[in-house]
Amino acid sequence: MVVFEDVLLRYGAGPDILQKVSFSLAPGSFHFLVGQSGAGKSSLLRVLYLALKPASGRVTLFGRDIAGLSRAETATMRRRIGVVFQDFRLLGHLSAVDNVALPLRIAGTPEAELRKNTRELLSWVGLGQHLEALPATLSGGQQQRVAIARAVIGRPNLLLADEPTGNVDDRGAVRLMHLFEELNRLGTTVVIATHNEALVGRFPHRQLRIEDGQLRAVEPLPAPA
Amino acid sequence: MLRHDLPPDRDAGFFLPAIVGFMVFLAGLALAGRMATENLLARWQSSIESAFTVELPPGPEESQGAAEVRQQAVLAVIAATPGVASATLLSDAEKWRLLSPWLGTEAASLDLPLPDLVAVATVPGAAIDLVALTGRLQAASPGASIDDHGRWRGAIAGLARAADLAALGLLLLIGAAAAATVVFVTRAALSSHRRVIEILHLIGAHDGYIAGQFQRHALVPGLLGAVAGSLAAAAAFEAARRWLPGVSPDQLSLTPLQWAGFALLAPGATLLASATVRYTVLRALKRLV
Repeated sequence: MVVFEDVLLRYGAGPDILQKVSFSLAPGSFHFLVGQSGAGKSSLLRVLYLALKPASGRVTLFGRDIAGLSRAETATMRRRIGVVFQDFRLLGHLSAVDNVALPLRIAGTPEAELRKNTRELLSWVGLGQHLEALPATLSGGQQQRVAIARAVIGRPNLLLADEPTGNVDDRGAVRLMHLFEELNRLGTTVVIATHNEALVGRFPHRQLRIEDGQLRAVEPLPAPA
Repeated sequence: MLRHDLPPDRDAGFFLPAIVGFMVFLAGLALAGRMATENLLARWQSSIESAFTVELPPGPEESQGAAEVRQQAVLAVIAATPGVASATLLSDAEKWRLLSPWLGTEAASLDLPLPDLVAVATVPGAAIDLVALTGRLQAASPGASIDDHGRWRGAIAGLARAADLAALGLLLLIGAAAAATVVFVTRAALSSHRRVIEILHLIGAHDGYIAGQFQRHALVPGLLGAVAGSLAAAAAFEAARRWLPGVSPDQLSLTPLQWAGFALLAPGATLLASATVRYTVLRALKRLV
């Protein structure tokens, strides 16, 4: 599903953000990407959702080396990746339902099918009463659920979430993790980037620990609580 | 309203229709003016082509009676020619009236010898062999010649070509200016919608999808501007036709077919603007990561 081989990343002539990072993710796996703020988690995710290309090394996604992807192929591959951004990145002028519908519209899904699926998903994440609400009128937690719904509406093979629990309380964070686990059970490979070590400890999934741009360890699966 | 993923903005909401409308207004005036001129020149050309003048020099020491016999013989030759609608021998008064712009109104008193002139009208489309006719006329009246107004025909044809080139050049200039302005407005819109473009890219939009969003974003304002511009041009043309000093409405009229062609200006300009938007967006996106 995902293979990183000696990946080195830097912005322009700046320092190395990722240094010789190597790991692989099996299809259907669930991983936490942990580390302190500034360790390189978001940058690694940006490589994973094809917003950045490494300065050296090789990244293989879905069996393709991303270095050789054309613009059109990159766009097509992005449709297989759902992303929950730390700042949500909702389009402020579109309603919740239209924000969630975007990936399907881009993929050319017929409008009737798209409306039905979008409404069902928003109801599933508890926003059935806010379908036509603009993001600015929703709370942070509600905006986050819209962002999650947008990330999963296209049934992605790979789901990436960048600090998804940063804007919710502990109970909300646990509920969110259960939602990601539910999606993982449906076959989606999940990578959650977080610095919330306490939360990570409560869920028995593998960890990719990153410190100063280096992958220190792939933690073994913790024992179930 | 066409659905699209871009937020409303001032560029597309005001500037684009205003620019497209103004450009279409100018293009409309140029087009209508050219079509009206074409009609006018065609009428002149047609009236010149369906007439010629026979010039009969006076015979030496010829009596009045002999001259009349010769004139009648000439008229008989002309009347017997297939394709001739009418032939009229101009009176002295008519000849002096024709000469008065050059010789003045007092010229008639100078007793200058003038050739006889026969104004001949032909059946429209008739092909008369003027060389053969000249031969027959010279047999009836030595020295007779035909003026087929070739000099004027050439001048009108030249004027028509010049008007065509001027109109074409003007339309090309207006089109280029409109396209350049649309490129500028589109680049501004690309800059202000950068965040939206990035999000669309990240969730899997191809460049063509994003370009399509910009096209949809611009289509309705552009069409509204183009329709308003072409209506304003039509109104201005009609006003000029009716109230311009020295111009009669009939001289500057358009046929229904020409008005239909004029009506295509708005959709044509909208398509041009839309294609320009698409081209500009696709080029700009290729420069992005």
